[in-house]
Amino acid sequence: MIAALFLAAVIPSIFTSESPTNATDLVKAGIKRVYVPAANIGQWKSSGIEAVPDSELKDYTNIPAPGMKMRADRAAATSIPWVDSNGWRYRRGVKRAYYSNLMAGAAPLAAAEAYAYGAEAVLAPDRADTTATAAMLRFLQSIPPVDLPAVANIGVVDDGSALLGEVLNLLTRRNLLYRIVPQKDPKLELNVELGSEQFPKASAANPSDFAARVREKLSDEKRSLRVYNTSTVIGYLTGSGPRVRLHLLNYARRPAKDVHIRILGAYSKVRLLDSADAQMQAMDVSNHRGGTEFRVPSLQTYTVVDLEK
Amino acid sequence: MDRRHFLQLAAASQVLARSTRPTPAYTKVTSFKPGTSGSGMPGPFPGRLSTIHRADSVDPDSEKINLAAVQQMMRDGMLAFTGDKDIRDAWARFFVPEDVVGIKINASGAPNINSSPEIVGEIAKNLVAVGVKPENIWVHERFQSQVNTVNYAAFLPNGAHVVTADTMGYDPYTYVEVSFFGEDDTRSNLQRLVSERLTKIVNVPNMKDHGASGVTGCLKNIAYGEYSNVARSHYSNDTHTLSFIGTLASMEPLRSRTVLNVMDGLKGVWHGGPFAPDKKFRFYPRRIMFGTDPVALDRVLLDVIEEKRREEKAISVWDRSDDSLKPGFRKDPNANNYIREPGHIEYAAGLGLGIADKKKLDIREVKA
Repeated sequence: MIAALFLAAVIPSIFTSESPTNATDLVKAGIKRVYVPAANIGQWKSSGIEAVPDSELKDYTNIPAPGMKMRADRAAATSIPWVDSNGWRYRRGVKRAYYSNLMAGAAPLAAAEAYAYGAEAVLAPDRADTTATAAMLRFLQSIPPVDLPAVANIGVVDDGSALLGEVLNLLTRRNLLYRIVPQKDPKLELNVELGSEQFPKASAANPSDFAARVREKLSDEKRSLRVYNTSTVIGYLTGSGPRVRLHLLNYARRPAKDVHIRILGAYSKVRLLDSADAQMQAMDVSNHRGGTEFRVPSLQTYTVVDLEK
Repeated sequence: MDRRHFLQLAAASQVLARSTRPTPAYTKVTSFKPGTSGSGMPGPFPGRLSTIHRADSVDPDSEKINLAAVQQMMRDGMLAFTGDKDIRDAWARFFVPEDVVGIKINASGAPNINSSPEIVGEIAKNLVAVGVKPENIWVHERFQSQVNTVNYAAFLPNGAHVVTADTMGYDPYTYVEVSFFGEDDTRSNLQRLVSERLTKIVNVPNMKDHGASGVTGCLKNIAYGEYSNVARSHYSNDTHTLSFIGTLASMEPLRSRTVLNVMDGLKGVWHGGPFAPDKKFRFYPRRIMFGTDPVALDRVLLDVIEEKRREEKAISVWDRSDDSLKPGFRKDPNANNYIREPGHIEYAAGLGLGIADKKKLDIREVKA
């Protein structure tokens, strides 16, 4: 496993086209400034929150709402959850993101997602989400900041194509840890370059199969992170040496119950910080077959796990 | 069907249609050691089973079960199986007062087809009679929503539990690891109740057709019914039920703790299993079978289902042809949803879980 540079997390900001009637919640959440239409700037002067014209969002990448849909278009014993995650966009290099189209219920997850991947984000939450978003932002502020690099098993040489973007998306959703590399990095367990003998371009025509092939070539034994008993939780692992931090994001609206995690290496301390349950603790912690394993009893939206040797 | 016919069908079907997938690389992860010789599957009576039929045990129209008939069948069937004269002696062969006993029911088709609460209640009554404390009896299944549709508690002594893995959870460190179709989650974990609390298990499956495994009886109820994340073995038209069922059943501590099988054949399903909400696919064998050898019971079950399907002019459970793979499995007895794998019974025999050769079975038929 190898670590790459990681950006320090920042608390997302809010865009609102409304008057400052909900400013109290925003102040409580620690929001110091909001993005508003230029015409509304005057209304916000006495709100206690700095109002910034939305013209400043022009440098932000507009990205879709995170979430999950169920697909029943394949013959299988159960329908397949289709996770819409922006993790791959962040891993590919998006540093400033604008979630401009968040349906009701999506904003807390969007806030957590951007925070987890260290992006500077602006959210435009649905009005119904004001309280939940404020609660998530308060939680994000309560997380002890650390500056840890991303953990990766796979290096991906990015050709900038949309096809590779979809490959990265599938790698993210399968919890295969990668980082973008300018050229093959021999320190990584596996390198992926579209067009190489090992990974011909044609093989990426089905990105899901391609991701499965990457996983097979890496082998599960070498994966720094495994996530069990859920198909809606994506993990993002950071750290080096004696300390790692795992970000767990649940893309479903229902809590993911009894999510079991395996992190390669032996750690003696496992501490959970959960956005919905401040008292929640890691259960069934064990050093097991070369890894540290534990159970997250209930993952509503976002759980941070700090592990130390 | 005799063994020759059984093997001929199996061989012919594999030549004419799809062959079985290669056996995946299973890793059994458990800290539990095998029990003492003779404990668990196949137990002290490999190849032996009793089967008791009583015509008035269930009314086919109302599907109402005759409790008095079931009580008599439970007594006479168990005595025939063990050869004992006293029913208490028969149960005392398998259970001691200190035991914590799980009754593994099948509720996957509930409330239409499931382990009858009348049978479960009789099992509990016999356990109490040999000294097992009611609070040490745990009726269990995987899914709470299914169990909620049947009133098991009404037939149990005060203090006995009805629980599911939805609330009791799974043992994170007792599991079978395998990748079937590239699924992300490669572990199937044993119910925590089984590994952490129970000393013995009575397995109470139904007599059912199964769209993936051909039939579902003792082996599947104790395998897929005691572990998490098993539906992953089905994908598109293929399944790995052939090898996965026996592999799960053969892992410790499940294997050692499953000491008795009581197959509930009062009602059955001849097509559309395991759920079979359509009454036209239910039938009424009106029998109960007893044994320690799950393979032997399932081998007999296979004949019961196959004969009923033949009577109904449905395709064989051994049919592996692509032509039979078509939409409408739930309604059409000549449609398959998956390539069925009734060979899982023979496979389990190969793992030492029991005897599948019908010529070697000691079948004790009881006339009620």
